[in-house]
Amino acid sequence: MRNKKIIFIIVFLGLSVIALFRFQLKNFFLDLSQDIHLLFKTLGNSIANSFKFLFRAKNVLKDNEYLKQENQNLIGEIVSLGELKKENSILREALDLEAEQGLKVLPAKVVFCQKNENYLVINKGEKHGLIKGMPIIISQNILVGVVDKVYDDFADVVLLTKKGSSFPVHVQETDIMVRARGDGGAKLFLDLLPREQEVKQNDLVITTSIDGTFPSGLLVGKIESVRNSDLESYQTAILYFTFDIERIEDVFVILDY
Amino acid sequence: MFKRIIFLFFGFFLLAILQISFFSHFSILGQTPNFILSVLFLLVFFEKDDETFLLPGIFFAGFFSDIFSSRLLGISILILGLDVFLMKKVLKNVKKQNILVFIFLFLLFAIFYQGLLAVIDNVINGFGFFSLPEFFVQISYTMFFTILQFILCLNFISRKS
Repeated sequence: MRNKKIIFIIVFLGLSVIALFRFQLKNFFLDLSQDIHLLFKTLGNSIANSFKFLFRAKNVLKDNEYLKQENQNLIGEIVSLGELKKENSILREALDLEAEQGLKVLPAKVVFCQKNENYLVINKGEKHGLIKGMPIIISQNILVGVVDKVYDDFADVVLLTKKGSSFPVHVQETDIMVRARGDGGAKLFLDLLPREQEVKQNDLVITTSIDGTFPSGLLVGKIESVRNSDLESYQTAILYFTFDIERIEDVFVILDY
Repeated sequence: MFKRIIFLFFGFFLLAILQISFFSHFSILGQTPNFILSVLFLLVFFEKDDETFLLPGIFFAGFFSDIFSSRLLGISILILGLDVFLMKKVLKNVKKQNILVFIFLFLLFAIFYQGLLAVIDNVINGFGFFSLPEFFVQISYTMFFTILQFILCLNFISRKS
């Protein structure tokens, strides 16, 4: 009985501490778990790849030929490849982005991703100059999401597909400008496409800076399909992404544009 | 006593990371098993006489569920607390304890937790996307591992006694 009382008090105090220090606590545990996340992610990835290999046993011979060929091509590069080179290329990419687009970017690593919640955590935070609303991209100027909550050393990023997200986009090579909408699932929707406007599958959809949310010219996705009904005055396009969010390891935060 | 509390702390901490970072590579329809939920249920199911560790168990399970999600810190602690409280009431009236009863009770426990969380995610946080197939895939995926753990626990208990 006495033990129970003590535990009740500890839990009550714990809840109060959580409410008071939620940002510091989150930052602390993200910091503590960063390397374990990386370890588990690497381990999971290599085991998943082994399983994939087993399931694709039928194509083993074909794969083997392909891998032999690829191996020859890569042998020369392998010697010099390493973490340093990777980091170097990320930084170079960041510099290229700055030079080409006039964007001031900061490279960051993804700590983990919660696809269900349309959310990921990156290892850059307030100390690195991040503030809420900064756009997050990956290489080739592909938009991923925006910074949401910012902690000392980390930041939450909400993906474009988050329920309620809405921003102006431009269908490339047309003069169509509409708003893209996320519904919390895996796709984005362009709801108010005028019926007379023709959009095709695989048309590129890019950002526009019309309302200042994002810089213009960032790739949002490609048109997967268009829903067209005689009963509605608008057509709806569904977008798909050119990347798999769970496979992303490196991102860039656009600090200024 | 403190040894077990520390064990619970690190146990739930590692389980949370395992389900996010390791099992994201083995997702089905984008769903990963919820080990935190399954281990907490086993704790509720097998720790009938000694309830001293349930409160810290709920606390750590909820805490680490929220730390690695975009939810407000503390929400899962409250939902899990309510879920465990109700499950305890149900367990008091359950006479038989076989695997079918275990599966049925776990389903109740998981549907209550995931359902309430989905409602909160949709209504309060606004980030939820409720899909019935995904909901059941996650519960089934979690249940598969829970049954495995249940069998392991039974083996462990029978060896001990």
